[in-house]
Amino acid sequence: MSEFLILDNVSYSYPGSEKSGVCQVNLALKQGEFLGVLGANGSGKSTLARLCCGLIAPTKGRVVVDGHTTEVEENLPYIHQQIGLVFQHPDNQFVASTVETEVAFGLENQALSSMEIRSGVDEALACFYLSGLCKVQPHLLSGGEKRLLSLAGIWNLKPKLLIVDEPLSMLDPGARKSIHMLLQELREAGQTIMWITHNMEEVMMADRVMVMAGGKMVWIGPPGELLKIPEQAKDWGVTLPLVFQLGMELGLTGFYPTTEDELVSEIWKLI
Amino acid sequence: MEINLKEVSVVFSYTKDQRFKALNEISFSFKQGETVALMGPTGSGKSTLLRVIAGLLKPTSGQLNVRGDLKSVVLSIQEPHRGFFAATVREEVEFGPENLGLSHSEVKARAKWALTAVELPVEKWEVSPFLLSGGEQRRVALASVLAMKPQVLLLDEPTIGLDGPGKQTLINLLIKFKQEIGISLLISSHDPDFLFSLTRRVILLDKGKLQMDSTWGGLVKKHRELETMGLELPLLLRVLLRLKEKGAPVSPEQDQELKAREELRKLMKKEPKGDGNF
Repeated sequence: MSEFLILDNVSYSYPGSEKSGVCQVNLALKQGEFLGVLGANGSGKSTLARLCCGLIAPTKGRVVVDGHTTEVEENLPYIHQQIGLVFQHPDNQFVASTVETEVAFGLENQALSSMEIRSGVDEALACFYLSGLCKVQPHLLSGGEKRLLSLAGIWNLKPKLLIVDEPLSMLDPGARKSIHMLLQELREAGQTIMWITHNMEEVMMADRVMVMAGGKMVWIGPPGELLKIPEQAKDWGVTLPLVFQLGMELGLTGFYPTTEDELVSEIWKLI
Repeated sequence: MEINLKEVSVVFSYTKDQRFKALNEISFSFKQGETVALMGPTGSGKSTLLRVIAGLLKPTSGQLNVRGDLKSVVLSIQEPHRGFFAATVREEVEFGPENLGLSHSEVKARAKWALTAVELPVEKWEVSPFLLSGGEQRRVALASVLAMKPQVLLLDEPTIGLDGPGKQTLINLLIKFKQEIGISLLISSHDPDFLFSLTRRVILLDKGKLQMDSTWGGLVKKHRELETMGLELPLLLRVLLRLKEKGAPVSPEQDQELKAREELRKLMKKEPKGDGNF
């Protein structure tokens, strides 16, 4: 697998702020890889996402997407086609007056035929449970429905790297499971994914997770390994899976349950 | 202070032909000092219901009766950063009390009290609220509503974007405000574990209808209906329920988080630590 995204000693400070939003981050993301980005509020996760897709340029270092550096302005149209960023706050990305036209917007900008646009829109609406709401104005949707719409609009563009920033917030457990499964299917189909969250439960199936703290990358490795240093992870602001926390509270030493089934069987064995 | 809803319905008209009943004949009462959880799938009408109670949306039919001062019912919206407009955090928090017609010194005092209460560091008070992290913005939003000294606080998805410590801080703050100022809380959330740590009573909405007004224990009995709606019980209750189904001598119908922990502890024969956790 080739390296699709490279962060080479990347730092970024917000204008007027002396503090680094992101500080000396090095990362190589391979095509098809699923990376979880963990960290507390304000640790630099969302800033990192903006750097990756060239929305902001690093103050120091380089971001290279598929061989194109984000510093060169001429590269940006290409980079923007390769990376789809689903914002943390869905309203920030809506442009159209109905759900249907919102989903169509990206495709229209790819100069596709009307038939291709129609079928792409229908597929995305069905996948994200929005078919019944196609004529509704985006701002009238519930918080969870807005989240589904923001994902549908970007997913439709079939970006090589999909960056999702807290994609499950605002969703009810049923919708969370569906989106989780959908993103898992995308991953199995070879989609490169960067999933930003503070909740480790959401990225347990990631190939690697990186932990951000105070703008720095403080840890990177398989999620199971991070669970072996739970106290440290908590100090970094990572929310450990709830099942795992309960297992710890119950004193299940030497065993790290990550699913409810594992936890219940373990308790059952002990009583 | 008491709030009564009687057959409240809200109909949204998207176009001439497309009408959507967001709330369908909702009736319930909410007494001073109560803390109530509001659950329901995405799009079930939770935010609409909170907006009706806050007086921001007029019911299409039915009645909302507030016994007490309507100005004491305050809503903290789902994405608080969308409501920000002031140049500094302090000005943002002062806006609410200013609109209550309070004196300049009282406005200043309330903002100071509220920002201290939400434990936002003083060095952030003169910063633009737009430059804060998501968790800090949530605290500013909470301070903005607290500065109005509400008797009833309506919170719409208050944990969105909060990390683990942020969520725990919010739980502690809300418990503190309940104890210190006897505030009533109606909290909508998709996070059953967060709700279970604060409430005993749960109001369940689905497709705009009130499906259940019960305790958590009552909800356990209806867990299958809950699953059909795409909702979940809190983890502690799910674990107790599954252990009972396996034949363990436990009662999963617990109304309070502490009691549920105690039940699991009894089963595991574990002694609690001082904080009630294991």
